Amino acid sequence: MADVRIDGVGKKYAGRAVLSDLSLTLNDGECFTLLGPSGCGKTVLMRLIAGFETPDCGVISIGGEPVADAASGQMLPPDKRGLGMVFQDYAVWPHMSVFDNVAYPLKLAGTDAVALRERTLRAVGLVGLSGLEARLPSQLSGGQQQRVALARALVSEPRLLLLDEPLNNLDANLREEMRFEIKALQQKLGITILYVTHDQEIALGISDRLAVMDENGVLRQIGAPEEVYERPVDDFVFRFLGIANFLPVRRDGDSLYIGGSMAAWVGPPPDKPGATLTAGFRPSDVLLARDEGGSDGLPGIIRRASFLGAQVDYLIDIAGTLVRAALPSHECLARNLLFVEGDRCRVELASVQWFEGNIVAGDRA
Amino acid sequence: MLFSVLALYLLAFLALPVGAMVLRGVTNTEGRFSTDHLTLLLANPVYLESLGNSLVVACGAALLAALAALPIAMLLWRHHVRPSIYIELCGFLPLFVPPFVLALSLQNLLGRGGALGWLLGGDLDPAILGLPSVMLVEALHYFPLVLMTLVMTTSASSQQACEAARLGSSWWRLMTRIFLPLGMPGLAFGMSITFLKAMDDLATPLSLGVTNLLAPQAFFRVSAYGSQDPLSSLIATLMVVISALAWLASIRLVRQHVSWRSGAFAAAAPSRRQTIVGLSCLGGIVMLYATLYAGVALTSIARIWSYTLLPESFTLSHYLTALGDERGSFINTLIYCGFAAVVDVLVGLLMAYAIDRAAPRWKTGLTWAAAGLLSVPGVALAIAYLQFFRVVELPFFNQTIDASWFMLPMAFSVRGLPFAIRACTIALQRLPKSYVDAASLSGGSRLRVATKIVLPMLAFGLFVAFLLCFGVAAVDLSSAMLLVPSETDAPVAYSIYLNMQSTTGRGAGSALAVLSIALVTLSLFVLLALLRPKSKAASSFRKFVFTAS
Repeated sequence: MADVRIDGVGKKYAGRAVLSDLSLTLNDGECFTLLGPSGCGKTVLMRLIAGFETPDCGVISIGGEPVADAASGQMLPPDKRGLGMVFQDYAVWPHMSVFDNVAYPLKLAGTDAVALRERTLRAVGLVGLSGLEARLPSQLSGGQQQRVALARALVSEPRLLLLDEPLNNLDANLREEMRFEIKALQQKLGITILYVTHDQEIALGISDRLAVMDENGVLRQIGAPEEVYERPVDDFVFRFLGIANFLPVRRDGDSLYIGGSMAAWVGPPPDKPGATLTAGFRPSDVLLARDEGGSDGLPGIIRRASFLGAQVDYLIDIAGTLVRAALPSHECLARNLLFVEGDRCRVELASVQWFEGNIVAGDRA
Repeated sequence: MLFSVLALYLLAFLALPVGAMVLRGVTNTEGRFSTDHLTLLLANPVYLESLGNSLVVACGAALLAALAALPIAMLLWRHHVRPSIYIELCGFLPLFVPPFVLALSLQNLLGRGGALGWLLGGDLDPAILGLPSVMLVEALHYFPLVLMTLVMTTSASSQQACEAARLGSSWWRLMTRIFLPLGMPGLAFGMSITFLKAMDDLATPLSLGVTNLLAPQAFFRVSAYGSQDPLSSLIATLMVVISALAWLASIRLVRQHVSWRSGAFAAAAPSRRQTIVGLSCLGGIVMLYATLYAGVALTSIARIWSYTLLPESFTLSHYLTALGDERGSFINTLIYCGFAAVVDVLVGLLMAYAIDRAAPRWKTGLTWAAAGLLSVPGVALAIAYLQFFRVVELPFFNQTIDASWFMLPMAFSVRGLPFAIRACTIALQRLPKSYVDAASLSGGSRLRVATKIVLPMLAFGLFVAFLLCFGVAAVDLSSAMLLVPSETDAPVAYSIYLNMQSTTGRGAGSALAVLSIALVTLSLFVLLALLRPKSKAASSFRKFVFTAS
């Protein structure tokens, strides 16, 4: 069992609290992602789990066994926690060959020569580096070095694998490829993975569950990727998971209006009470039509049109609020929806998240 | 524990000796604060003149070197020419070659019986010109350093930035508004090194017969009145204060952070125009220095050379003498400089680690303080050691430390420490924390992590630090001239100096000098070849001379 329990953990640096009273549970065999902006404390939490840092308060348990307990001062050293870890810069030792890098944990564990060789070659093969065992890291590409780090983390068959933004230094194609490979490996080996990243695309693609952490180290929402994406608990989570549009909506009796204007809201009704609300939606939720004098949808004016190849990006003025829309290019061509600046259009929304109050999203355009 | 050893080293070999020396200069025989010595110093016109002359020589040398370097650096900058790292490295040769060799070479060329001197009637004999000669020799010696630090800092900005600056700007405006501010860190660094080295230089003025400078005066006071002379303390203290002020002034000028290798010029192979401009500048400089050092080079192979343009006959016997008779000085150099460099690497690594771990608000201050050790002149440190270790007995050797050669490597190590700290800092930066974390995650003792991961990864950086400190120590004549207990204990640099003082030894001395310069150059190139990342592409001549990647 490699479930991880974090109970009321806190950590301060130079008097500043990076984590406060944080609690979290990772289930055995799941791939769990900690998603948050840079500097929010997610790597600190990972280092606390790994044992490189000591918590100021709280308890961390792995597989039911406490590995760090601030109250009793109990701290299990990193190598006794049964972990593997892949670092952001891979930390592949440059003076050792691929084989020696991967075999290092087994050598220290006193594994006999035959088993060491067999397990090392198996780990190297698992990450697709067979035949490159004798090479030095300087003779490998970034992606291959990343695989060496992964093999080294896996060779001692850890119960928990910690991945600290290991795909950041790879180019977009390789990043995507490795993302799938890590997921496939996790499913094949059945180990628990804690993945730390600020990249929402990786988080959504790789995780069984994910937690969104804000810049103050507070966990805003924990859930399955589709749940967090489709039903964000607040605007922070909504913004963090992709480009966000916000339209202020005013309730006046039974009628709904956009912002301070007299333009009526046309679209999914709010599921929240209150006189002031905000409708949140993604650019892909926007359905566009030409304004031919009808009353379907919200009236808008195209302020900017950008053809981006696979899709067309529009900036639309709806009653004084700017929102972005992304339409597939082929749909625009087929339905005569290639607008130019100044064109009038009608906007319908396929899906809307409602938030209480008036959320100003000044940077969304 | 390790940091206690570090503190003990700094206390025993820097703070206490220098502190005691300063105290000796400002206290009377009863140990009370007194201005008696200072009054005595100021009342003596020789010392006042020496103070003024030292300032003139040091400032003049720094200014002359800067004035010579500025137009060339500007020309290279405007044409986007960046010399290759091999050429840039030659700019640092002055740090590893004693300047008095240049003085003696010029004497061989321009002296009364020299190659050109007999034609000019000895009018340009450096030994006759006195103070201006010292200034000129120091300026000529350190000019390549100033030029290269200037070139490295200015070309760190991108080619596009340079071109953007040129749009609609007059050359004067370009120079004052863009080029000078960009190059200020390099210029200030080069000028301050020139100032500090010229202030500290003992062998060059003595070779040229100039004694009315602070360093020779301190040297004479110790020779004449012994190491406990309070006036020598005061002169040495004065040198420390002036050097420290000069260093602080340079820090004020180097305000912006500079990366010397980022955004270098000329991502593509240099154009024909760039090659012509670059080759003209660098070829001219090479020609100049080949001519300047021709005096020493020719003397080293001359059998008879007097009142003729070239030697009348040639021989290699001076080299045989140098390699035979002076074998002891080579061994001495290996012992002293090797010992000093080992101490430097150990202490430098500890200090670099301490600076790395320091709170951010302390880091900059500590870095500058470590570099500020450059401002402790060798003469001052040597006097401080002679005074402080006079009564300290060396364990197992049954003699006081000041009568042994032990002080010499320790003085060398203190002088080389700023270089060691910098080199070790760079080595440590190449070992990210995650590499050690990854090792500790696999288990094993701290010793095992240190031996299997940390040391192999630091080894190359520490080797570079060792060579750097060895080279700096090998040319530190200011300390050596005061601290060498006897001529048989002399290192190579001092042997060159001693040989050059006698007419019969000039050939062997010159051969020793040529061998030393060749050895230093070769070491630097080997070092660089090791440092350069392995490249599959064969480098052409142009790529060797000018950077192409």
